[in-house]
Amino acid sequence: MLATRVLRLVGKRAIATSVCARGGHGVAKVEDYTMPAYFDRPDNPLPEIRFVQSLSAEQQSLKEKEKGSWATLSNEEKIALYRISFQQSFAEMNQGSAEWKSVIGGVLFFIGFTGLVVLWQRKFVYGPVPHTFDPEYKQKELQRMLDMRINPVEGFSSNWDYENKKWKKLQHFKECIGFIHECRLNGGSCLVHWAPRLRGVGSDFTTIARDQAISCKCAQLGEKTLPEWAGPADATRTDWSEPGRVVESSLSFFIHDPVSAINPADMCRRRLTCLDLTV
Amino acid sequence: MAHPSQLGFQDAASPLMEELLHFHDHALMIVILISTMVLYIILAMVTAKLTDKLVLDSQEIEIIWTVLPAIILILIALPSLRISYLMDEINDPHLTIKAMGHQWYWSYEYTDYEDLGFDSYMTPTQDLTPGQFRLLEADHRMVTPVESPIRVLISAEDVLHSWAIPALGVKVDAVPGRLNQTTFIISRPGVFFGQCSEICGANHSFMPIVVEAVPLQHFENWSSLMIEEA
Repeated sequence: MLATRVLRLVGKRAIATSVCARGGHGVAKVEDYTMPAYFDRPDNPLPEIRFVQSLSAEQQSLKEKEKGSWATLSNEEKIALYRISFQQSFAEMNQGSAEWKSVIGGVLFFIGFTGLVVLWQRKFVYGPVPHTFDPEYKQKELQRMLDMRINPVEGFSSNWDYENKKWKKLQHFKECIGFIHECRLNGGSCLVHWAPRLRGVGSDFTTIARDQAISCKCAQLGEKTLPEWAGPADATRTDWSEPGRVVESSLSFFIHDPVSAINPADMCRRRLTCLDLTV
Repeated sequence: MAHPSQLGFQDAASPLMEELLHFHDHALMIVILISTMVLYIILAMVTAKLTDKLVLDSQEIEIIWTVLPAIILILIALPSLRISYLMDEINDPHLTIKAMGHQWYWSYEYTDYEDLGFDSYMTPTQDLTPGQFRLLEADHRMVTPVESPIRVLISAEDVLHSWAIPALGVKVDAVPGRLNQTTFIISRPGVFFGQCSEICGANHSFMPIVVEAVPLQHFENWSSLMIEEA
């Protein structure tokens, strides 16, 4: 203990193998890790010792100058003093490295390699799957699941439209309209993106849409304009016509009249009046 | 049954399963909220620029993170206990069926009125008719009347088995020398599948349980037919 304190005053790093008297009971070898050491750590800003232990003549004179007024020190001298005491600045300490690229690259490489191994296994190791995986068999299985009304509440069969013999679409139309309504009530606006490929939407929609389509163009973010209703003239635009038909059939949710008896444009106008969205 | 790649529960076919679904939603929501908060805290700590190592205690946060988990645990425990006691309620079953587990098939006994018993073996894959479900179909189904409380007494003749049907929220161990009881009400007609849920040997995966819920008249017709055939 005494030895290290004396040496610190002198500013020299103690020799690792120096002995240390311990309460008169003998001597113990002084280990490296018990000696004061230099470190750069952002969470522990002041290391135990100065970085540069043996100062050159120039550095020594700078240290003498430091004892006077600091206003006389130039910027370069201040930096030189800093570099005597510290190896890295905080900026250098905290800067990241490009190691993450190698890490990501290595991870992806091994994932890819695993994929190759799996492919090889599929070809050379595994036997054939049971005949129940044949597409025709799967088709019959699916049909049987629908016939048996497997999970009819919220699961499998609930997504099948038994009357029209096709998969249902647009289950969440009510929630979407509710959300748009709330956005507008709170003074904001809502960008509505109509997905062009809704599940089950086919060519019959385009045909019907051409006859009596409405197209709905919703406001951009930041603008307070209301949806504009275009007439059948816009129906030929394929990106509008499908949503038009979808809106028509789905708005029958809210109004329990048969869809065909209603002019879709009127229906939408009526619906938006209920929601206080029309001018 | 589950559709291919299904991750969540099957639709409930009994009132108890509906309760279990609601409780699961409740508990999972709590779990997700806590996990999100912990993940956020981890990320915040890892990306923090400076570490303040000298904050050693704080009474306010200690109180909060002791009381709040206690409250959360109570909010989980109360519905859990409720549903647990609901399962053990005394009810008056209309029918008692005995399901016995064997290596590797189930046998069902309807002995309330007449002596009716039959075995239920899995339909082997090569014997499936097109459209039947692999590893789930059985040659004889356990037919029950719909919307009636049914008591099932479950035991085993050799090793441990377990009688389970996810859609009904039922899983009961079949222990040799012991009689376990469960009751359920099937809310809608249909066919409900389950698989043996306790390892019991080589064909443990190949002894499914198939329950068919039918209107009472159909059930009576079926049981008369089965008794005649025997």
